[in-house]
Amino acid sequence: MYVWHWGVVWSHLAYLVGGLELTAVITVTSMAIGSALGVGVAGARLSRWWPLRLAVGAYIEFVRGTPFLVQLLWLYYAIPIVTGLNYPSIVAAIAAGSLNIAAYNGELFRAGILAVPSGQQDAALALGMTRWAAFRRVTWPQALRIVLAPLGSTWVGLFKDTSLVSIIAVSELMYRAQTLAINTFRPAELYTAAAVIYFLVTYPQARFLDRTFKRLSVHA
Amino acid sequence: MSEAARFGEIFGHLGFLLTGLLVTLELSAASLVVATLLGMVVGVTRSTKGRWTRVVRLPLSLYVDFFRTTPLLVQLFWIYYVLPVLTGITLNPFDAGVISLGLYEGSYISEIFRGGIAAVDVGQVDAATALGMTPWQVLRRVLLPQAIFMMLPAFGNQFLTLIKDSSLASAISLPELLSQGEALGAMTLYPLEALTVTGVSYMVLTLPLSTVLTLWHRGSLSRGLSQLRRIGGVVETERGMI
Repeated sequence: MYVWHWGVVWSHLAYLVGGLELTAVITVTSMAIGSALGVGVAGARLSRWWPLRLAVGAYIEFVRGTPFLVQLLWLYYAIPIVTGLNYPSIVAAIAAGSLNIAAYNGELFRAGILAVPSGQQDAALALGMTRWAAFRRVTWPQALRIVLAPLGSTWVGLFKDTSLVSIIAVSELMYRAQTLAINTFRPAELYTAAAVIYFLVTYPQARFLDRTFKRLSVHA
Repeated sequence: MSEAARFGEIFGHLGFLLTGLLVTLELSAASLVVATLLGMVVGVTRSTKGRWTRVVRLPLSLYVDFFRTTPLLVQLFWIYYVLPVLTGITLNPFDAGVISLGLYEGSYISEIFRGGIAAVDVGQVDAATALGMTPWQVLRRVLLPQAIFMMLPAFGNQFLTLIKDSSLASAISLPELLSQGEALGAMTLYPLEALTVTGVSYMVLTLPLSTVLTLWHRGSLSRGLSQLRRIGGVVETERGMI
Protein backbone atom coordinates (compact mmCIF):
# COMPACT_ATOMS: atom_id res chain seq x y z
CA MET A 1 0.00 0.00 0.00
CA TYR A 2 1.29 3.40 -0.97
CA VAL A 3 2.02 5.85 1.83
CA TRP A 4 1.01 9.35 0.82
CA HIS A 5 3.21 12.26 1.85
CA TRP A 6 1.05 15.31 1.36
CA GLY A 7 3.58 17.50 3.16
CA VAL A 8 5.42 17.98 -0.12
CA VAL A 9 2.32 19.55 -1.66
CA TRP A 10 1.56 21.80 1.31
CA SER A 11 5.10 23.12 1.47
CA HIS A 12 5.06 24.01 -2.25
CA LEU A 13 1.41 25.01 -2.50
CA ALA A 14 2.06 28.72 -3.00
CA TYR A 15 4.48 27.98 -5.83
CA LEU A 16 2.05 25.53 -7.47
CA VAL A 17 -0.98 27.78 -7.24
CA GLY A 18 1.20 30.70 -8.39
CA GLY A 19 1.44 28.87 -11.70
CA LEU A 20 -2.24 29.64 -12.23
CA GLU A 21 -1.23 33.26 -12.79
CA LEU A 22 0.51 32.38 -16.06
CA THR A 23 -2.29 29.95 -16.93
CA ALA A 24 -4.76 32.83 -16.62
CA VAL A 25 -2.53 35.29 -18.50
CA ILE A 26 -2.16 32.90 -21.44
CA THR A 27 -5.90 32.10 -21.50
CA VAL A 28 -7.06 35.72 -21.33
CA THR A 29 -4.51 37.06 -23.82
CA SER A 30 -5.02 34.25 -26.33
CA MET A 31 -8.78 34.57 -26.10
CA ALA A 32 -8.68 38.35 -26.58
CA ILE A 33 -6.24 38.35 -29.51
CA GLY A 34 -7.80 35.22 -30.98
CA SER A 35 -11.33 36.64 -30.88
CA ALA A 36 -10.24 39.93 -32.47
CA LEU A 37 -8.44 38.03 -35.23
CA GLY A 38 -11.43 35.69 -35.42
CA VAL A 39 -13.74 38.52 -36.45
CA GLY A 40 -11.31 39.28 -39.29
CA VAL A 41 -11.15 35.59 -40.21
CA ALA A 42 -14.94 35.38 -40.34
CA GLY A 43 -15.07 38.51 -42.50
CA ALA A 44 -12.44 37.12 -44.85
CA ARG A 45 -14.32 33.82 -45.16
CA LEU A 46 -17.48 35.71 -46.08
CA SER A 47 -15.62 37.99 -48.50
CA ARG A 48 -16.64 38.18 -52.15
CA TRP A 49 -13.02 38.02 -53.26
CA TRP A 50 -12.25 34.31 -53.70
CA PRO A 51 -8.43 34.32 -53.24
CA LEU A 52 -8.92 35.72 -49.75
CA ARG A 53 -11.63 33.15 -48.99
CA LEU A 54 -9.36 30.38 -50.18
CA ALA A 55 -6.29 31.52 -48.25
CA VAL A 56 -8.18 31.96 -44.98
CA GLY A 57 -9.99 28.68 -45.59
CA ALA A 58 -6.67 26.87 -45.90
CA TYR A 59 -5.48 28.47 -42.67
CA ILE A 60 -8.61 27.36 -40.84
CA GLU A 61 -8.38 23.82 -42.18
CA PHE A 62 -4.74 23.59 -41.11
CA VAL A 63 -5.40 24.81 -37.59
CA ARG A 64 -8.50 22.64 -37.14
CA GLY A 65 -6.92 19.60 -38.76
CA THR A 66 -3.70 19.47 -36.76
CA PRO A 67 -3.12 19.07 -33.01
CA PHE A 68 -2.48 22.22 -30.97
CA LEU A 69 0.75 20.63 -29.81
CA VAL A 70 2.07 20.53 -33.39
CA GLN A 71 1.23 24.21 -33.84
CA LEU A 72 2.91 25.08 -30.56
CA LEU A 73 6.11 23.20 -31.35
CA TRP A 74 6.10 24.64 -34.85
CA LEU A 75 6.02 28.19 -33.51
CA TYR A 76 8.53 27.43 -30.78
CA TYR A 77 11.18 25.40 -32.60
CA ALA A 78 10.72 26.09 -36.28
CA ILE A 79 9.93 29.78 -36.70
CA PRO A 80 12.97 31.11 -34.76
CA ILE A 81 15.26 29.03 -36.98
CA VAL A 82 13.72 30.30 -40.20
CA THR A 83 13.35 33.95 -39.25
CA GLY A 84 16.29 34.31 -36.90
CA LEU A 85 13.91 35.89 -34.38
CA ASN A 86 14.46 34.92 -30.79
CA TYR A 87 11.47 35.15 -28.51
CA PRO A 88 10.76 33.69 -25.08
CA SER A 89 8.59 30.58 -24.81
CA ILE A 90 5.69 32.55 -23.32
CA VAL A 91 5.44 34.52 -26.57
CA ALA A 92 5.31 31.29 -28.56
CA ALA A 93 2.62 30.02 -26.19
CA ILE A 94 0.42 33.10 -26.57
CA ALA A 95 0.99 33.24 -30.33
CA ALA A 96 0.01 29.59 -30.72
CA GLY A 97 -3.05 30.07 -28.50
CA SER A 98 -4.16 33.19 -30.36
CA LEU A 99 -3.71 31.72 -33.84
CA ASN A 100 -5.53 28.56 -32.77
CA ILE A 101 -8.44 30.45 -31.22
CA ALA A 102 -8.61 32.79 -34.24
CA ALA A 103 -9.42 29.84 -36.51
CA TYR A 104 -11.97 28.25 -34.17
CA ASN A 105 -13.67 31.52 -33.23
CA GLY A 106 -13.53 32.68 -36.86
CA GLU A 107 -15.58 29.64 -37.90
CA LEU A 108 -17.88 30.17 -34.95
CA PHE A 109 -18.50 33.84 -35.80
CA ARG A 110 -19.08 32.99 -39.45
CA ALA A 111 -21.62 30.34 -38.46
CA GLY A 112 -23.34 32.84 -36.16
CA ILE A 113 -23.47 35.52 -38.85
CA LEU A 114 -24.91 33.04 -41.37
CA ALA A 115 -27.49 31.90 -38.84
CA VAL A 116 -28.99 35.40 -38.57
CA PRO A 117 -31.88 35.51 -41.05
CA SER A 118 -30.87 37.57 -44.09
CA GLY A 119 -34.11 39.55 -43.82
CA GLN A 120 -32.56 41.35 -40.86
CA GLN A 121 -29.81 42.76 -43.03
CA ASP A 122 -32.24 43.56 -45.85
CA ALA A 123 -34.45 45.48 -43.44
CA ALA A 124 -31.49 47.42 -42.06
CA LEU A 125 -30.32 48.32 -45.56
CA ALA A 126 -33.85 49.33 -46.54
CA LEU A 127 -33.86 51.70 -43.57
CA GLY A 128 -30.88 53.44 -45.12
CA MET A 129 -28.07 51.99 -43.02
CA THR A 130 -24.72 51.49 -44.66
CA ARG A 131 -23.52 47.88 -44.98
CA TRP A 132 -21.10 48.43 -42.12
CA ALA A 133 -23.76 49.96 -39.87
CA ALA A 134 -26.15 47.13 -40.70
CA PHE A 135 -23.51 44.60 -39.77
CA ARG A 136 -22.37 46.28 -36.60
CA ARG A 137 -25.79 47.24 -35.26
CA VAL A 138 -28.09 44.52 -36.55
CA THR A 139 -26.35 41.32 -37.70
CA TRP A 140 -23.38 41.16 -35.32
CA PRO A 141 -25.24 41.56 -31.99
CA GLN A 142 -27.61 38.75 -32.96
CA ALA A 143 -24.81 36.55 -34.26
CA LEU A 144 -22.88 36.99 -31.03
CA ARG A 145 -25.81 35.81 -28.94
CA ILE A 146 -26.21 32.73 -31.09
CA VAL A 147 -22.58 31.71 -30.60
CA LEU A 148 -22.33 32.56 -26.89
CA ALA A 149 -22.63 28.99 -25.62
CA PRO A 150 -20.01 27.47 -27.96
CA LEU A 151 -17.81 30.48 -27.18
CA GLY A 152 -17.88 29.51 -23.50
CA SER A 153 -16.94 26.01 -24.51
CA THR A 154 -13.92 27.39 -26.40
CA TRP A 155 -12.90 29.30 -23.28
CA VAL A 156 -12.95 26.23 -21.04
CA GLY A 157 -11.11 24.20 -23.67
CA LEU A 158 -8.44 26.88 -23.95
CA PHE A 159 -8.03 27.07 -20.19
CA LYS A 160 -7.32 23.35 -20.07
CA ASP A 161 -5.14 23.40 -23.18
CA THR A 162 -2.78 25.94 -21.63
CA SER A 163 -1.38 22.96 -19.71
CA LEU A 164 0.26 21.92 -23.00
CA VAL A 165 2.61 24.89 -22.95
CA SER A 166 4.42 23.15 -20.09
CA ILE A 167 6.03 21.15 -22.89
CA ILE A 168 7.90 24.26 -24.07
CA ALA A 169 8.85 25.09 -20.45
CA VAL A 170 6.44 27.94 -19.70
CA SER A 171 6.24 27.95 -15.92
CA GLU A 172 2.47 27.60 -15.49
CA LEU A 173 0.68 25.18 -13.16
CA MET A 174 1.39 21.98 -15.08
CA TYR A 175 5.05 22.79 -15.61
CA ARG A 176 5.51 23.57 -11.93
CA ALA A 177 3.84 20.29 -10.95
CA GLN A 178 6.15 18.44 -13.32
CA THR A 179 9.37 20.03 -12.10
CA LEU A 180 8.35 19.53 -8.46
CA ALA A 181 7.44 15.90 -9.17
CA ILE A 182 10.89 15.29 -10.63
CA ASN A 183 12.79 17.15 -7.94
CA THR A 184 10.95 15.72 -4.94
CA PHE A 185 10.41 12.19 -6.34
CA ARG A 186 6.74 12.52 -5.38
CA PRO A 187 4.79 12.32 -8.65
CA ALA A 188 1.72 10.78 -7.00
CA GLU A 189 1.12 13.69 -4.64
CA LEU A 190 2.02 16.44 -7.11
CA TYR A 191 0.08 15.20 -10.13
CA THR A 192 -2.93 14.50 -7.92
CA ALA A 193 -2.64 18.03 -6.53
CA ALA A 194 -2.37 19.47 -10.05
CA ALA A 195 -5.50 17.58 -11.14
CA VAL A 196 -7.42 18.78 -8.08
CA ILE A 197 -6.32 22.41 -8.55
CA TYR A 198 -7.33 22.34 -12.22
CA PHE A 199 -10.70 20.87 -11.27
CA LEU A 200 -11.28 23.44 -8.52
CA VAL A 201 -10.65 26.38 -10.86
CA THR A 202 -12.13 25.02 -14.09
CA TYR A 203 -15.36 23.50 -12.79
CA PRO A 204 -16.79 26.75 -11.36
CA GLN A 205 -15.92 28.60 -14.59
CA ALA A 206 -17.65 25.96 -16.66
CA ARG A 207 -20.74 25.97 -14.46
CA PHE A 208 -20.87 29.76 -14.40
CA LEU A 209 -20.49 30.10 -18.18
CA ASP A 210 -22.98 27.31 -18.77
CA ARG A 211 -25.66 28.96 -16.64
CA THR A 212 -25.03 32.51 -17.80
CA PHE A 213 -24.90 31.69 -21.48
CA LYS A 214 -27.93 29.43 -21.33
CA ARG A 215 -29.87 32.40 -20.06
CA LEU A 216 -28.44 34.89 -22.55
CA SER A 217 -28.13 32.84 -25.69
CA VAL A 218 -30.80 32.43 -28.30
CA HIS A 219 -31.49 29.16 -30.03
CA ALA A 220 -30.59 29.30 -33.69
CA MET B 1 20.69 23.76 -48.76
CA SER B 2 17.58 24.80 -50.64
CA GLU B 3 14.15 24.54 -49.10
CA ALA B 4 13.18 21.82 -51.60
CA ALA B 5 16.23 19.78 -50.74
CA ARG B 6 15.38 20.00 -47.04
CA PHE B 7 11.89 18.72 -47.64
CA GLY B 8 13.48 16.04 -49.84
CA GLU B 9 15.58 14.97 -46.89
CA ILE B 10 12.46 14.71 -44.72
CA PHE B 11 10.62 12.74 -47.38
CA GLY B 12 13.64 10.42 -47.53
CA HIS B 13 12.69 9.41 -43.99
CA LEU B 14 9.00 9.08 -44.70
CA GLY B 15 9.00 5.48 -43.47
CA PHE B 16 10.06 6.76 -40.05
CA LEU B 17 7.05 9.08 -39.94
CA LEU B 18 4.75 6.35 -41.24
CA THR B 19 5.57 4.06 -38.32
CA GLY B 20 4.45 6.94 -36.09
CA LEU B 21 1.32 7.42 -38.16
CA LEU B 22 0.50 3.76 -37.66
CA VAL B 23 0.87 4.06 -33.88
CA THR B 24 -1.37 7.15 -33.92
CA LEU B 25 -3.99 5.19 -35.86
CA GLU B 26 -3.80 2.22 -33.49
CA LEU B 27 -3.96 4.45 -30.43
CA SER B 28 -6.91 6.42 -31.83
CA ALA B 29 -8.81 3.31 -32.87
CA ALA B 30 -8.31 1.52 -29.54
CA SER B 31 -9.21 4.65 -27.57
CA LEU B 32 -12.29 5.24 -29.70
CA VAL B 33 -13.57 1.75 -28.89
CA VAL B 34 -12.97 2.22 -25.15
CA ALA B 35 -14.41 5.75 -25.15
CA THR B 36 -17.52 4.79 -27.11
CA LEU B 37 -18.37 1.80 -24.94
CA LEU B 38 -17.72 3.75 -21.75
CA GLY B 39 -19.56 6.80 -23.06
CA MET B 40 -22.55 4.73 -24.08
CA VAL B 41 -22.88 2.95 -20.73
CA VAL B 42 -22.43 6.17 -18.75
CA GLY B 43 -24.60 8.30 -21.03
CA VAL B 44 -27.47 5.82 -21.14
CA THR B 45 -27.31 5.15 -17.40
CA ARG B 46 -27.42 8.85 -16.63
CA SER B 47 -30.41 9.24 -18.94
CA THR B 48 -32.56 6.64 -17.24
CA LYS B 49 -34.63 7.28 -14.16
CA GLY B 50 -34.71 3.76 -12.68
CA ARG B 51 -34.27 3.22 -8.94
CA TRP B 52 -31.00 1.32 -9.24
CA THR B 53 -29.39 4.10 -11.25
CA ARG B 54 -29.87 6.48 -8.36
CA VAL B 55 -26.98 4.82 -6.54
CA VAL B 56 -24.54 5.30 -9.41
CA ARG B 57 -25.78 8.71 -10.53
CA LEU B 58 -23.51 10.74 -8.24
CA PRO B 59 -20.29 8.78 -8.99
CA LEU B 60 -21.04 8.95 -12.71
CA SER B 61 -21.64 12.69 -12.75
CA LEU B 62 -18.46 13.14 -10.69
CA TYR B 63 -16.57 11.11 -13.29
CA VAL B 64 -17.95 13.13 -16.20
CA ASP B 65 -17.43 16.51 -14.57
CA PHE B 66 -13.95 15.71 -13.33
CA PHE B 67 -12.65 14.36 -16.61
CA ARG B 68 -14.18 17.19 -18.62
CA THR B 69 -12.79 19.97 -16.45
CA THR B 70 -9.19 18.81 -16.02
CA PRO B 71 -6.59 18.83 -18.79
CA LEU B 72 -5.96 15.59 -20.66
CA LEU B 73 -2.22 16.04 -20.06
CA VAL B 74 -2.75 15.87 -16.29
CA GLN B 75 -4.86 12.74 -16.62
CA LEU B 76 -2.30 11.14 -18.91
CA PHE B 77 0.55 11.87 -16.51
CA TRP B 78 -1.51 10.66 -13.60
CA ILE B 79 -2.29 7.35 -15.25
CA TYR B 80 1.22 6.84 -16.57
CA TYR B 81 3.26 7.97 -13.56
CA VAL B 82 0.94 7.74 -10.55
CA LEU B 83 -1.29 4.73 -11.13
CA PRO B 84 1.68 2.29 -11.23
CA VAL B 85 3.00 3.75 -7.97
CA LEU B 86 -0.37 3.21 -6.28
CA THR B 87 -1.29 -0.18 -7.70
CA GLY B 88 2.03 -1.78 -8.53
CA ILE B 89 0.84 -2.44 -12.09
CA THR B 90 3.25 -1.01 -14.64
CA LEU B 91 1.70 0.35 -17.80
CA ASN B 92 3.45 0.80 -21.12
CA PRO B 93 2.91 4.20 -22.80
CA PHE B 94 0.45 2.74 -25.30
CA ASP B 95 -1.83 1.23 -22.65
CA ALA B 96 -1.61 4.38 -20.53
CA GLY B 97 -2.58 6.36 -23.64
CA VAL B 98 -5.58 4.13 -24.37
CA ILE B 99 -6.79 4.28 -20.77
CA SER B 100 -6.52 8.05 -20.42
CA LEU B 101 -7.84 8.88 -23.89
CA GLY B 102 -10.63 6.35 -23.34
CA LEU B 103 -11.61 7.91 -20.02
CA TYR B 104 -11.27 11.50 -21.24
CA GLU B 105 -13.09 11.21 -24.56
CA GLY B 106 -15.52 8.77 -22.94
CA SER B 107 -16.72 11.52 -20.61
CA TYR B 108 -17.44 13.74 -23.62
CA ILE B 109 -19.08 10.92 -25.58
CA SER B 110 -21.34 10.12 -22.62
CA GLU B 111 -22.68 13.68 -22.84
CA ILE B 112 -23.23 13.24 -26.57
CA PHE B 113 -25.29 10.11 -25.83
CA ARG B 114 -27.20 11.96 -23.13
CA GLY B 115 -27.92 14.87 -25.46
CA GLY B 116 -28.96 12.52 -28.26
CA ILE B 117 -31.37 10.61 -26.03
CA ALA B 118 -32.79 13.83 -24.58
CA ALA B 119 -33.42 15.11 -28.12
CA VAL B 120 -35.74 12.21 -28.95
CA ASP B 121 -39.35 13.28 -28.57
CA VAL B 122 -40.92 12.13 -25.27
CA GLY B 123 -43.99 10.94 -27.16
CA GLN B 124 -41.88 8.23 -28.73
CA VAL B 125 -41.16 6.71 -25.31
CA ASP B 126 -44.80 7.04 -24.24
CA ALA B 127 -45.99 5.36 -27.43
CA ALA B 128 -43.51 2.50 -27.09
CA THR B 129 -44.43 2.01 -23.44
CA ALA B 130 -48.12 2.07 -24.31
CA LEU B 131 -47.45 -0.72 -26.82
CA GLY B 132 -46.22 -2.84 -23.91
CA MET B 133 -42.47 -2.58 -24.43
CA THR B 134 -40.18 -3.01 -21.43
CA PRO B 135 -37.86 -0.08 -20.60
CA TRP B 136 -34.96 -2.05 -22.07
CA GLN B 137 -36.89 -2.60 -25.32
CA VAL B 138 -37.82 1.08 -25.46
CA LEU B 139 -34.16 1.99 -25.14
CA ARG B 140 -32.86 -0.53 -27.64
CA ARG B 141 -35.56 -0.36 -30.28
CA VAL B 142 -36.90 3.20 -30.07
CA LEU B 143 -34.56 5.59 -28.27
CA LEU B 144 -31.07 4.53 -29.32
CA PRO B 145 -31.72 4.11 -33.08
CA GLN B 146 -33.08 7.66 -33.29
CA ALA B 147 -30.58 9.12 -30.83
CA ILE B 148 -27.59 7.61 -32.60
CA PHE B 149 -28.63 9.14 -35.90
CA MET B 150 -28.84 12.58 -34.31
CA MET B 151 -25.55 12.05 -32.51
CA LEU B 152 -23.50 11.19 -35.57
CA PRO B 153 -22.16 14.70 -36.34
CA ALA B 154 -21.15 15.40 -32.74
CA PHE B 155 -19.67 11.93 -32.55
CA GLY B 156 -17.66 12.51 -35.73
CA ASN B 157 -16.37 15.77 -34.29
CA GLN B 158 -15.32 14.01 -31.12
CA PHE B 159 -13.43 11.40 -33.12
CA LEU B 160 -11.54 14.18 -34.93
CA THR B 161 -10.68 15.68 -31.55
CA LEU B 162 -9.56 12.28 -30.32
CA ILE B 163 -7.13 11.83 -33.22
CA LYS B 164 -5.62 15.23 -32.50
CA ASP B 165 -5.55 14.63 -28.74
CA SER B 166 -3.64 11.39 -29.26
CA SER B 167 -0.61 13.60 -30.01
CA LEU B 168 -0.33 14.23 -26.27
CA ALA B 169 0.94 10.68 -25.88
CA SER B 170 4.24 12.04 -27.23
CA ALA B 171 4.68 13.54 -23.75
CA ILE B 172 4.88 10.04 -22.25
CA SER B 173 7.33 9.02 -25.01
CA LEU B 174 5.02 6.86 -27.08
CA PRO B 175 6.56 6.80 -30.59
CA GLU B 176 3.44 8.11 -32.32
CA LEU B 177 3.30 10.58 -35.21
CA LEU B 178 4.28 13.73 -33.31
CA SER B 179 7.13 12.00 -31.40
CA GLN B 180 8.50 10.68 -34.65
CA GLY B 181 8.17 14.10 -36.28
CA GLU B 182 10.01 15.77 -33.41
CA ALA B 183 12.74 13.11 -33.48
CA LEU B 184 13.09 13.55 -37.24
CA GLY B 185 13.43 17.30 -36.79
CA ALA B 186 16.17 16.80 -34.22
CA MET B 187 17.93 14.17 -36.34
CA THR B 188 17.99 16.12 -39.60
CA LEU B 189 18.25 19.55 -37.91
CA TYR B 190 15.29 20.69 -40.03
CA PRO B 191 12.50 21.04 -37.44
CA LEU B 192 10.45 23.39 -39.63
CA GLU B 193 10.23 20.91 -42.47
CA ALA B 194 9.79 17.90 -40.18
CA LEU B 195 6.99 19.51 -38.15
CA THR B 196 5.28 20.81 -41.30
CA VAL B 197 5.20 17.32 -42.81
CA THR B 198 3.95 16.00 -39.44
CA GLY B 199 1.17 18.58 -39.45
CA VAL B 200 0.20 17.67 -43.00
CA SER B 201 0.15 13.99 -41.99
CA TYR B 202 -2.36 14.80 -39.26
CA MET B 203 -4.44 16.64 -41.83
CA VAL B 204 -4.35 13.58 -44.09
CA LEU B 205 -5.82 11.64 -41.16
CA THR B 206 -8.50 14.18 -40.24
CA LEU B 207 -9.49 15.74 -43.56
CA PRO B 208 -11.54 12.81 -44.98
CA LEU B 209 -13.72 12.66 -41.87
CA SER B 210 -14.10 16.44 -41.57
CA THR B 211 -15.06 16.62 -45.27
CA VAL B 212 -17.71 13.95 -44.78
CA LEU B 213 -19.07 15.89 -41.80
CA THR B 214 -19.20 19.13 -43.80
CA LEU B 215 -21.02 17.49 -46.70
CA TRP B 216 -23.44 15.75 -44.35
CA HIS B 217 -24.55 19.08 -42.90
CA ARG B 218 -24.60 20.88 -46.20
CA GLY B 219 -27.11 18.36 -47.48
CA SER B 220 -29.43 18.30 -44.52
CA LEU B 221 -29.56 21.71 -42.92
CA SER B 222 -29.76 25.41 -43.58
CA ARG B 223 -26.39 27.05 -44.13
CA GLY B 224 -25.92 28.85 -40.84
CA LEU B 225 -27.24 26.01 -38.71
CA SER B 226 -25.16 23.47 -40.55
CA GLN B 227 -22.05 25.55 -39.92
CA LEU B 228 -22.89 25.77 -36.23
CA ARG B 229 -23.34 22.03 -35.96
CA ARG B 230 -20.26 21.23 -37.98
CA ILE B 231 -18.06 23.02 -35.49
CA GLY B 232 -19.73 21.32 -32.58
CA GLY B 233 -21.82 24.20 -31.32
CA VAL B 234 -24.85 22.00 -30.87
CA VAL B 235 -27.35 24.39 -29.41
CA GLU B 236 -30.51 22.38 -29.42
CA THR B 237 -29.56 19.33 -27.39
CA GLU B 238 -29.06 19.32 -23.66
CA ARG B 239 -25.31 18.99 -23.90
CA GLY B 240 -23.69 21.07 -21.20
CA MET B 241 -20.78 23.10 -22.38
CA ILE B 242 -18.17 22.26 -19.77
